[in-house]
Amino acid sequence: MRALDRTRTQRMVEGSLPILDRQMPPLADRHAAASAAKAAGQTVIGVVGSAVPVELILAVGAFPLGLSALAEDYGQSAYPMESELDVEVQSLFRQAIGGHFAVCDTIVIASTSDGNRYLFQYLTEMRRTGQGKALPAVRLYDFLFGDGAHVADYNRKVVAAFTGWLEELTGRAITATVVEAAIDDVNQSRQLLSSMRDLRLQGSLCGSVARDAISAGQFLPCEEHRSILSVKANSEARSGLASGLRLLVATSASLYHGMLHHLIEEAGGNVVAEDDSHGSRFLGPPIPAGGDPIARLIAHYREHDPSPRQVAPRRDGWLRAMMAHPAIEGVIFYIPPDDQSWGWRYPDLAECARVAGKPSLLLREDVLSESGAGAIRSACAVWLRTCRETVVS
Amino acid sequence: MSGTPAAQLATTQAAREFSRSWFQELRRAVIEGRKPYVLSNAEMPHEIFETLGLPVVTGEWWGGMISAKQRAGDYLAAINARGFHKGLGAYNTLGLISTIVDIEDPPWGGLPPPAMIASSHREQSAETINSMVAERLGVPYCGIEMPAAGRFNPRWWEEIRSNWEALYETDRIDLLAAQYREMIKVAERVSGIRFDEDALRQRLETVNAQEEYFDEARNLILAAKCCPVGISEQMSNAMTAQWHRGSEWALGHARAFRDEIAARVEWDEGVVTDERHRLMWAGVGLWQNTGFYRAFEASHGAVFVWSIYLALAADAYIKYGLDDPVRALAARYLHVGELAHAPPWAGAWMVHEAKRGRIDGCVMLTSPGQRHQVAGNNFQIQALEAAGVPVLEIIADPNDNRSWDEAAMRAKVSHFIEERLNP
Repeated sequence: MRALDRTRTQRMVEGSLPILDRQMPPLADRHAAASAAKAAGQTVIGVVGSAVPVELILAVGAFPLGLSALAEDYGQSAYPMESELDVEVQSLFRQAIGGHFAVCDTIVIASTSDGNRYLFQYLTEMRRTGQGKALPAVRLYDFLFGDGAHVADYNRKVVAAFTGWLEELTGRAITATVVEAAIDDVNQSRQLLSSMRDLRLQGSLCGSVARDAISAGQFLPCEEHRSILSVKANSEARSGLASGLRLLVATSASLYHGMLHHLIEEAGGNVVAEDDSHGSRFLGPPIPAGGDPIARLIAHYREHDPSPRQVAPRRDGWLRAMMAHPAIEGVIFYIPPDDQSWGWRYPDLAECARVAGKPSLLLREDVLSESGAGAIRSACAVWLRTCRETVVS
Repeated sequence: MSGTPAAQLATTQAAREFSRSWFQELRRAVIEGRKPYVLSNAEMPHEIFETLGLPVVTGEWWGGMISAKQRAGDYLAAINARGFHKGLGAYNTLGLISTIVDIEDPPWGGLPPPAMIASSHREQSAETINSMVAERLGVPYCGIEMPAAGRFNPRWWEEIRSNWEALYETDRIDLLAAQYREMIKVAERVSGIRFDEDALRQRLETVNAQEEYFDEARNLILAAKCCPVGISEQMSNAMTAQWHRGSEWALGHARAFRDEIAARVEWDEGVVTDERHRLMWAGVGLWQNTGFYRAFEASHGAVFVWSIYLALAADAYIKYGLDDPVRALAARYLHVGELAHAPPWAGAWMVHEAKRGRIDGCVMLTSPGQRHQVAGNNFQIQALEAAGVPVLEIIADPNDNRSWDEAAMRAKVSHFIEERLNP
């Protein structure tokens, strides 16, 4: 399959936000806020993986910059990473060794997916052997999701080591007070995200606009991100596209781009929820007050993080609950060809959708390839037409 | 060197016979006597189950057996028909999924339902598939969360036997050991036998002795003037004993294997009479076509001398310091699979082995359907090529023979030998 040409990809990734032009920085310059923070003397910590507790980074006054793959990197591997590895990880590796993460003082990688584990190994080896330019130091954040007291104990040690490392890096102490303040700060974003999720489920927001607004939180300061989310929550951005069938997307691939949302919208649907850390699962629900703040952070990320290594009951729990939600009118399973693990979940989850009375569509093409995008657009159009006819009849 | 190529080792035939009779006895005991057994993946402390009187069937072994019988395609087609797509890797799952689908005339009568499933979560799919199969079979599942390595000593083989505490870090060993202790409680309920730490220690001492024989065998093979035994026989002898490691049979088998090789080395008996090229096989075994390794002996005098299997038995399994045998097991399994794949562990080790074995070239099996078997390959290639060992990468599925092109693969390896290894 041939990759989409860069112009087309850029247009689809960046050009999708006419309503947000005034509020959002250009997506091509995702590191602008981090660069400004660095110029102002802040430590910038690149973050790979949604399980890294950004609250702790904020607690030491550092800037957490979510490092994201680029849709236009599709089909381009970067030696010595093998082209068979995850598309997302390949893009991150390519950017890292190309010097594109030079704004970061250091990079923290959560071990919560196989891809992230490979990325950590590869970047560590590149630094050891002197390969790659302007490659920041990398640190592993080895957070585990398994049940049991021993895993919980291990996670406490991992977080304690992470905390100590942050203190050493920045020279600032992490006290309960500063962690509480950071939780409060991020909770304000979580509250707005929660409101946005409700609005989406009501069909009041265009899915692609919402997804882009949500994912901007990875590279914007909390307050700036909230200003965008507030605009959305106040419905300024409601769009005619929001009238499409309300769809849930279950995905094996990270949706670090808006391509799938766009194609679904073009076909007449509206994605109102997606099982992805760049969308509905971003940051998770607000962290309840009370008790030791570090323990609450650990519990929150263990319970709500949607990473690939999350355990089956919690990983699928959110999806199953959403399938049963009365607002959801259909489910799209997006499992592009490079999947090697998510497919083990598909038959049971498809059955879950069926039992919930929700029509579902399985997409096996890659939305980032030109032929895949065409096939997905056609498949969605046919399926949505059938769904609408069924509803009418 | 003697004038005729060496015949098959007596131990090879013995290993084959043992496997078959052991499995048939297990099958009979499970089906007729309701004897509980554990279905486990390879990177697990089987010794714990054996100590509790629970036989272990290794999923990868059973998957390899299905593949060697050319039946992988039948199982995969059956699982695909149930909605599981074709891109899901078969290597770690074939044995497991064979318990939830039926095919006509399964190899050796098929695998009976286990009483318990256990697996390490090395890959992110492990928890999903193992828990799903356990749920469908209605048996308990013990999954072991695997922490990731934060630091990498390239010369790990120098530390791993005695200095494993420092090599792998206490917290991570503690985590694995604690999970094993939880697993022991479940296994005790399944077996009805109480865990005996002394018995486990004794078994691990036997494992150490067994692997020391394999270490000697590996060293003999690498140092010999001509390769005394090809990797197909190395693999079948090493792995049959590995799947039953710590048993009296396995210990005796490892000793007999070492003795046979020593005798051949003494008499300069080689796999071929005119050894011209010494090759290493990188990656997992080509289980669907184990004859392929020998395809270049007559035509090119090229012998596969080394694979990860015997070498890992020698380098990764021995653990001295058995005061707490559960912790020693945890240290063994933290990264046993990654040692042969992840950078810099795999590349540095293979270069070390290649130098000792006077290796001329390396054939690397890449299976795109198993991402964990692809990851790190380019670093291995870099390391070997930099050390003067040319590498040929071949793309194939180790289990599923449906897309294997024998003629094309032979041509590719022949071309590599002729173009890159000829002086």
